[in-house]
This record gives sequence, structure tokens and C-alpha cells, in this order.
Amino acid sequence: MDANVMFWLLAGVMMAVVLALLLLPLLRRPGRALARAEYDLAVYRDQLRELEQEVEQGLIGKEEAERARNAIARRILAADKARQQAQAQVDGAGRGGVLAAIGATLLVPVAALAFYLNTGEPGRPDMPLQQRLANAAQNNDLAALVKRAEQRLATNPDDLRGWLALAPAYEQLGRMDKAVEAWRKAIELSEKPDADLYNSYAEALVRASQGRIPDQAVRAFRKALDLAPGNPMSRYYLAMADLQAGRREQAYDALKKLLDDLPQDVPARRTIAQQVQQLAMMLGKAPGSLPSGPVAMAAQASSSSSASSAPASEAGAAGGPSADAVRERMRAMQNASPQERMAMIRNMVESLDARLQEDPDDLGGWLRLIRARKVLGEDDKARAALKRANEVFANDEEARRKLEVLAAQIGIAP
Amino acid sequence: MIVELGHFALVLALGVAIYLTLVPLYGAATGNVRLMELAVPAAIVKFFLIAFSFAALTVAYINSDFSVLNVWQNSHSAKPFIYKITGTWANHEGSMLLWVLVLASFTLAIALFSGNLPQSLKARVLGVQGSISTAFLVYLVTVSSPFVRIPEGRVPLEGQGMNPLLQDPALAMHPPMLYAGYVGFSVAFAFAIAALMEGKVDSAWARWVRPWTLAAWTFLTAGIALGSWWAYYELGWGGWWFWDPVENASFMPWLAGTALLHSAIVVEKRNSLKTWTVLLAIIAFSFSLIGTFLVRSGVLSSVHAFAVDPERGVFILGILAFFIGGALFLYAARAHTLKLEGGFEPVSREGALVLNNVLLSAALAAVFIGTLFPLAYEAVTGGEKITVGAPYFNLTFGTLIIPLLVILPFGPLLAWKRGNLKGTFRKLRTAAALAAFSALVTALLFGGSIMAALGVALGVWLVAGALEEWAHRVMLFKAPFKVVRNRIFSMPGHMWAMTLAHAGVGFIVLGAIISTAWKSEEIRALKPGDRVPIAGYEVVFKGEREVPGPNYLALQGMFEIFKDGRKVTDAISEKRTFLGRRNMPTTEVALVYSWKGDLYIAIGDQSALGGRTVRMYFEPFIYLLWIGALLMVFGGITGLLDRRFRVGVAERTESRLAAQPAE
Amino acid sequence: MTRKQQRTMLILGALVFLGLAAGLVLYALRDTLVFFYTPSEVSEKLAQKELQPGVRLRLGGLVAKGSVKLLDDGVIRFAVTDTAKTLPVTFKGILPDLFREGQGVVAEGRLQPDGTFVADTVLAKHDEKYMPREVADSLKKKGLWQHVQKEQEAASSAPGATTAAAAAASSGY
Repeated sequence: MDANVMFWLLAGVMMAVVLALLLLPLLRRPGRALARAEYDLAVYRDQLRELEQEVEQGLIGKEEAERARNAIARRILAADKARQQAQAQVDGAGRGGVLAAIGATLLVPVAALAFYLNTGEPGRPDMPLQQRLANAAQNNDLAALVKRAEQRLATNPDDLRGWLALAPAYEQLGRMDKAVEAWRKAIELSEKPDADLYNSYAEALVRASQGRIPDQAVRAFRKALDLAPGNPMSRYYLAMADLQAGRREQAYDALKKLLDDLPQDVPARRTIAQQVQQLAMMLGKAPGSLPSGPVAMAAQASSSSSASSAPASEAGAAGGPSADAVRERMRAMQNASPQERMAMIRNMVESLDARLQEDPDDLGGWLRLIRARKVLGEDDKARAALKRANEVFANDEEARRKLEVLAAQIGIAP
Repeated sequence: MIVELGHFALVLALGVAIYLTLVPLYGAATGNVRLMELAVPAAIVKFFLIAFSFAALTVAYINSDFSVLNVWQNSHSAKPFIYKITGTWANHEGSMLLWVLVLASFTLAIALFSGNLPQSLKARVLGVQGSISTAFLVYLVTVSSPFVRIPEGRVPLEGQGMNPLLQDPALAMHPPMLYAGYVGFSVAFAFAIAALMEGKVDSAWARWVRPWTLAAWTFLTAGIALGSWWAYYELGWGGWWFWDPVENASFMPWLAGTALLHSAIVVEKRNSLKTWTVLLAIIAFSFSLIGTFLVRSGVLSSVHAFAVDPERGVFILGILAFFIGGALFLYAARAHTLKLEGGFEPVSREGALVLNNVLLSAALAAVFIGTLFPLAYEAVTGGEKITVGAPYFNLTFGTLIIPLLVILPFGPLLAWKRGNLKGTFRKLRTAAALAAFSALVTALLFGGSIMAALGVALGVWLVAGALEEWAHRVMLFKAPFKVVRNRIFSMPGHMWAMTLAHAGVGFIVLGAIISTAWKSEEIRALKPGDRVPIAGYEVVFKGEREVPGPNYLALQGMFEIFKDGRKVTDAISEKRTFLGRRNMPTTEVALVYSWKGDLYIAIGDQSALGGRTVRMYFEPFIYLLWIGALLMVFGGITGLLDRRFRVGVAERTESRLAAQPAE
Repeated sequence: MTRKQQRTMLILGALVFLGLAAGLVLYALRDTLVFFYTPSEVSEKLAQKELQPGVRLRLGGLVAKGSVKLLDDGVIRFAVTDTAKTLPVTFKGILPDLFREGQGVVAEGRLQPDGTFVADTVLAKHDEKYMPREVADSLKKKGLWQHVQKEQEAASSAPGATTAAAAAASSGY
């Protein structure tokens, strides 16, 4: 049954029971009221009885008992007198007021309902942790899936397949520290860890340190290269490590060799070729001929910087799509025809625009949007975006300065 | 859905509470029996609605339903099952819900078990209870709702964890007990208000109030004792009472309640002290409210924090002002209508009870001033900080309470109205001799100051005095065995209650004095292998290790305890760091028990100068404290079982005369 | 004695007693009150003659970095600072668990004529025995601690635990 229906059904039952219990007594004839004195008399009679008991047991002195007895007797006499006076008065009471009572009773559920509808979330189902974990797969609840895998691994930490499944999931959730840990566990548990495993581990390390390639990662990439000589992934990252360490010549040589070794149809060639070209320019070598143009640049501008490039720019920080999603999109794009590619890019740019309408606090997003609009040749829209961004960050000097620098760079005036 | 139903039930309960306030009170005012009778079903319905609501929250805790904000903030899925349940009330919103549930339980109990109450009085009492309930339910559903949900899609997978200090069996039971005590005084309060409305306080009224007061007092005693015990073994400071404002918050209603317990006896037996008893009933519950306010508003941890987030505090303050102010106003307006009866001599049972009340009230005032003075000072001076510490409380409270303890054994032996001091002295000869003897023995054999010896004498005096009074009652050694046996078995419950509770006070005094005056203390930075002699033991630090628990990581310090060169036992003290955001470490104390007292070892942190800081105490005869508290609670229970608290139900008396006074 | 006389006696007795009790409370308050000052406040009060050396007080602030020294006879020397002023402190005994340079501390003792502060009790922030809320408040006023933690609730339902609860809350600092 629908949770909502069920809720109202049960809430209805609850209200009905409350009403019934409060209204039914009104149908009965009211009990006859006893005068207050009757109750007092009951108490005094008890007191007298107890006193006699105490006297019998010798718990109380003779003289004291006599005093107490007299006191109680006085009370009894007084109460008896009061009783006779009250009798007539009590008998008359107990009529009317029923309508008022019914009105008050009916008000109870109505008022409660009105208040609850304002503060509660009628029919919203519970979300017990176990149930949520159990239904994780069908609800596509990645976080819950991860949690469940974690629970299983907590009791059975030697399950290699568990770690292998968990690691990419962590990456997808952006929990890179955990991903590193999971890959490391997987390597430990594998009898013969292969190059891919080492590469994944090392790549996770790189992403965990925001694009910096730490020594641990370098060692892991080397290990992968030992296991699978010529592995392009390892070679690429090691070249990047050289670059980060300032060994540009070495990096240039390694990348150039890698480019030569790669088959023509590998999509990644384009990126590598670009980097080779840039390095060549920096090092003053002859530039090679490389595919470039508005399409690739716009794509890069609109997505965050690719995972392999040096420290994540602010454009790639919070709010941007996850690195995996970006890689996925890049891959799709590189396999598409130019028209398709253009359409995809526009699509991406428009969705970025839409997202910024809803969540305008993302400076990186604005910077990317403005750049992408410009690259696509939509100067007006770029200018409009710049204007909106300036409004959003009216109180943020730092942000406005960045926007200004960008505008100057790409040559649009606000 | 259960969560939402729980929320709805709570709102519905508020509606019923308002109904319970208005309808019976109106009925009582107009003499309409039909409307008065509606109080009973309303009280029943309200109880079940709140109980359902509480159960719903508990289910959410058990299921780790983090879509409920309160559960997410205060629970963790790795918590042991028992703490998932107790976690329900180990937080602000949940504990207020518990408060309301306990209140509803008392209201239900009045509705069900007072067939012996006059209808108008019953309607008024239930109506007043309903008004208190209304105030707190409004608080719960508006500013402090435990059923606020986290928006769909943003529900976290793990909670922030429960306060580690509260993950302990004694402390899990502490709040329900304490609340049962606090809220129990609301019954006496409601009776007082109803009496003021009716303008009638008499012997019968006191008889109806006494069992409820005793029940509340018993719960509160148990709650305070549990809290004190917990502080002793969990905080790792080697003490059991710190005059901490939170402790004082529960101690103040206890003092007022103890006074009320005694003055109600005078009203019942002698029809005297009526206005004072009504005032005490108001005061006892007022201090319960003040206690709730102090603990719940955050004003204690920092006036600053209170000022930053005043919503809740101001709300409770409003409730406080309404009920205390309203009650005192009503008292001022109506107290003169209560007729006086029964004079008495200064030396009499009444006189002793009055003295009891005067001293208890003065002690209460001293504690109250000491607790609130720093807050007031800070507020008045605009931020200047002062501390009122244990020395203040020891001086004032001690000075005021010692005379009370000295005269305590006399009270039960004095006759009503006119007592005989000399005869009473004679009846306490043995106790006095024992006390003097124990003072001499402690002073000569065990060293210690004169004050400590006198303290021991006081404790012995109390215990022996209670026993001697009992011996007179049953005619021990004076009558044939058969008679004595008969007397013991036919002694009414309330007599046992008095003897047990008074002896309990003596045991507490003994435990407190001895464990303080003869305590040994060593605080050292230890490295593995170090040996520390303390109170005849030798403590050897073996080293430390890390051990994982269900939801915490424990650092264990391992010790070996030697006595006279022979190994007695191993001992382990832990420092636990819990999962979740509240990662404050807690201490598990190692306790080595013996008939002489507890050897108490608590590990601290790494010392700044190397090694592990370890606190070692020997607390001689500390267990007398717990025995004393148990005796008091046990006494309370015995008193509640007394047949005389179940007054016979009134019948319509058709005959002319109810009883023949005197033979 | 008539009933009226009895009542008068009773009321008189109660009044006398109340007076005595009030006197006791005032005396105790005067004698046992301990003021809490930061080093800046100490120097200010000294300058204004509101404070004489030898008065018992609590000194709160942070342990100055690099100031902790162990002297020969087990005496420990350190300085308490509130960033504006610094006051040297000597203390003989075991330092509390969480005594660290740069961390909050409260020292209770007496100011000497030479300007040093001789402490007989030292309590560190985070120490489960004592979370000096005064320190937190006064430093918050100075803007040294950013986060005003208002979540104090749960633990405060336990006796003796306000301090511990405050410590729990402050672990976020």
C-alpha cells in the first residue's frame, strides 16, 4: 500500500480512538458526586483504625493516644457536619455542559491536524539504516552500497573482490583517501598484483593529492611499468611526475616517445600531443603540428581540467562534475563526429548555465561558462554571464578580481 | 512512517493536554460532574499518545534512522544495542520527550489510582497536571521537536555518535530516575494548587499527597545516587560529589522534597503547618523546574552560549516564570483561607519536624545562592567571572546540616504536641555511648583530625540512634521473644521506612567522612615497571596496549596489584576514544574492592614530562555511601508499600454518625 | 505560653536563625569566592589598585609557546598569555594530562609581589577534570577561538558533567 495512504489511515485510526475515548463518557449518565466530606470521613476512619492498632501494639503512649483520638474525633464530627450541609448542593450539579465538552473534544484532532500539516511531513517513510542498505542497489544509492560493502569487509577484511569493487565506488563518491586505502588493501591481498592494479592505486593517490604526484605514486607507477613494460598509463604519469619535479627535458622526451608509441586511434593522443607542443614551446623546440581548434578548447574550458593535469584549478573544485564523469564525457566526445561533438559541447555549456542559475555561488563554474561562451564565439552571452557573475559576487572582491582578469585575458569587456 | 506517526501523536497529545487543562478545571469551577469526570479518559489518552510518540523515537534510534535529525546528531550505527535505546533520551529533545512521558505516567497514575479522591479535587489536580503537560508539549513541538527530518536525498549514512560519557549503564538509568523524581513533585504541586483553589488543606489532603511525595522522593534519591556513583567510577577524579551546578540542580529539589515529606506528616497527624506545607510543595516542584532549566538551557556551560542561542532557554524560563510565579501568586492570594488548627510546644514531634524544615530550607537556600551567584554576577557585571567552589558549599551546607543530623535521632522519639526531652535523652543512651566511644577509638587508634573523629561519631550516632529507636519500638530485650517477633512483623511500612532512611543517612555520613578524611592519593607519571605503594598495596604499572571495542578504541593501562608481597589481582584502566564526531576520550577506572575500601586507578594522558599520568586513590569504606543510599531508597519503597497509603474509598454514608469518638 | 506567644516566639526564632544563616552565606561567599582573570586583566587591575598581590585568583589563558621549563627541585615554570600580556607562573606538582604549549590553561594560586604567579592547581583545557569555560569565553571575546559551539546539551544531564560536556563541545576547537 502507498505509504501516504497507510499513514493517513493510521493517523485516522488514532484520531478516531482519541475521539471515541473522550466522547463515550459523555453518553453515560454522570456518576453521582459525593460530598468532599464523605472522602474526608473515609480518611479519618482509616486514621482511627490505625491509631487503635498502634495502641493495641503498644507503639504509642496512653496519654498520647488519647490526645490523638480526640483530635481525630473532632475532625470526624466537623466532616460529618459539612457532609450534611453539602448534600443538597451536590445533588443538583452535573447537568449541561455536554455540548461544550463535545465541541472541545472535536477541536482536539482538528487543531492537531492543522498544526501537524504545518510542521510534519505526512506519509514520509522511515529510513532505517539496514533497510536502506538492503535496498541500495535498486535505489541506486551508491553511498549506501559503499556502506554495505564496508560492513561486509569489516567482518571479512580479506575479501579481495570486495576491495576491488569498493575502490572505484569510493572514487566515484570523491572519497579519494578511502579509495587509496582500498586499492592498497587490494594490492596486499592479491597474490600477483598486476600493472593495472598498481596504476589504479597510484592514480588514486594522485587524485587524493589534488593532482600532485607523490613519491608513493611514483614508486607504484614504476612497479606497474616493471610488471608491464611500455604501459602507456604508467609512462604518462611518470612523465608528469618529471614535469612536476621541474625536469622538463626528461618529461618532454618521455611524452614524445609515448606519443610515437601510441597507435593513431587512441583518443588520449590529442591531450598528450598538446602537452608535447606546450613543452616544446617552453623549451624552445620546433613545434609539431597538432590538432587544435575551437572545439577542443571549448570542451576543455567547459569541463574541469582533466585528471592528469597538474593541481586542480579552482574551476575543478567543489561543484564541478566528478573527474570520472568528465573523463567519461571526454571519451565520448573524442569518438563523436564534429557536429555531434559541437552539439555535446553546447549541451554541456547550456547545462552548466542552467546549473549556475540555481546555484550561483560557484565561482569556478562562472569562470568556465564565460570562457566557454567566448570560445564558442558567443561573445554576447559571455558578456551577459560576466555581468551576472559580477552581480552574484558583488561583495566578494577576490572573485570580482578573478572575473576581471579572465575578461581581460579572453578579451571581452563587461 | 512510524516516525511521522510519532510526530502526529505528539501533536495530538498536545491537543488532549489542552483539553485536559480546560475541561476538568471548568467543570470543577462550575460544579459540573460530567466535565470533571472527563479528566480521567483524557489523562489515559494523553499517556498513550505520548508513550506511542516516545516509542516511535526509540524505534528510530534502534533502526539508526538518520533521516531523523535528532537520531543523526546523537547516534551511531556501531553503538551497542542498549545504548541505541538509551540514546533516545541522552540528548536534549529526547530527554524533554522523556520528561513529558514521565509526567504523563504520573498523571495516568493519579487518574487510575485515586478513586479515594473527591471528584473536584481530582479534576483540579489532573487539570493542573494537564497545564504543565501543555507547556512542555508546546515547547517540544515548536522549538525542540525530536521529529525534525533531514530532507530526502541528503540523508547521511552515519550518525554523529552519542556523547561517550553517557554510554554507561548507570548513567543510562540516571535520567529516567531523576525525571521521575523531578516530575513526581508535580503531583504534590498540583495538589497544592488544587487545595489553594478549593481553599481546603487538611489531614485528609496530606494523606493523599504523602504517597506521591514519597514516590517522587524515592525516585529522586535513586537518581542522584546513581549519578553520584557514576561520577565516582567514570570521571576518574576519585570523588563522588563535586557541588557541580548540575548536581546541585538535582539536589535542590531533593532538599525541598525531603522537607515536604516531613512537614506533610505534621499536616496529616496534627492538621498544622498547612500553609507552609503548601508552600513547600510549590517550592519543591519549582526547584524541579529550575533544575530542568539550568541543565537544559545551556545557561550553566556558558551564559554567553545562552545569550547566543536563547530561544530554548527563554522558552523554559517562560514556563518557569508562569508556573512558579502563578503558583506563588495564588498562594499569596489564597493562603489565608487555610484555617489553622493544633498548637504545639517547642519540644515535641512537631517542633522537631519544624526544626528539620527550617534547617533543610536554609541549606537549600545556601545551595541555591551558591549555584546561581556566579551566573548572576556574570550577568550583572557584564562578563566578570567568579567561581563558587566546594569550599563555599562545604562551609555553608555543612554548618546548616550538622545540627539537623545531631537532632535527627530525637525526633521520632518525641511525642506529638508535648515531648519530654529528658526521657528522650534516656532512650538514646546506648547510641550516645556508642558515638562517644567511636570518636575516642578513631581519634586514638586511627589518627585523623578531631573533626574527622567527630564526623565518625555523628555517623555512628545516626545509625545507632535509628536502631535504638527501632529497638524501643519492638521492645527488644524487654519483652519475651514472641512479643518482640510479633512486633517486628506487625510494624507498619512507614515505620520501617523511617528507620531505614534515617540509618541510611548515618551510613552516608560515615562513608563520606571516612573516605574523605582517610583517603590516600598518588598522582604520578609512570613508566612500565614502576611500582607505587599506596595504602598497604603496591601498584605495578605493566604497560599499555590498544584494544578495539564495539564503537571505540581503548587504550588500556595494565596494572598488577600486590599486597604484603603477594599478588592480589590484575587491574586494567582504560581511556576510550569513541567513533563519531564527539571523539572526547572517556576513562574507565580500575577498581579493586575490599572490605576496607576501594583501590581506584585511573590512567590519564601522556605526561608532559614523559610517562603516563596515573591517578591512584584508596577510598576507605566508600561503599558505606552506596549502602546508605540503598537503605534510603529501600526505605522509600517500604513506605510506599504501607497499607495506610491506600485509603479506603468513600461511600455515601447514610447513617447519621460515622464513628464513635473515643471510648 | 499562649498560642499567640508561641507563634511570636517561633517567628522570632526563625528570623534570628535566618539572619544567622544569611550571615553565614555572605561570609562564606566572601571568603571562598575566586575571581577569574586573564593576564591583561591582572595587569590592568594591578595598575588600578583593584587587585593586590597575595589574593587568591584564577589565571586563565594559553600556555606561551616555548615557556615551559623544568627547574631543579621539581618546580615547573611556564608563562600564561592572552596574546596581549604574558604572566610567568611557577608550579610544583604533576601537570595535568592535556597541558600543552599553546593550549588553554587555568592556574589557581596567588600573585607574588615580584609579579610571578605561584599556582597550587593547574587545570588544562581538555583535561576531563576541568574545562575552563572562562578561558573559552574570554578568548572567544578576543576572537582567538572562532567557533562558538552551542551544542552543550547531552552530557549536561549528568551530574558532574557540565565540565566534561564543555570539554566534549570544545574538542571541536
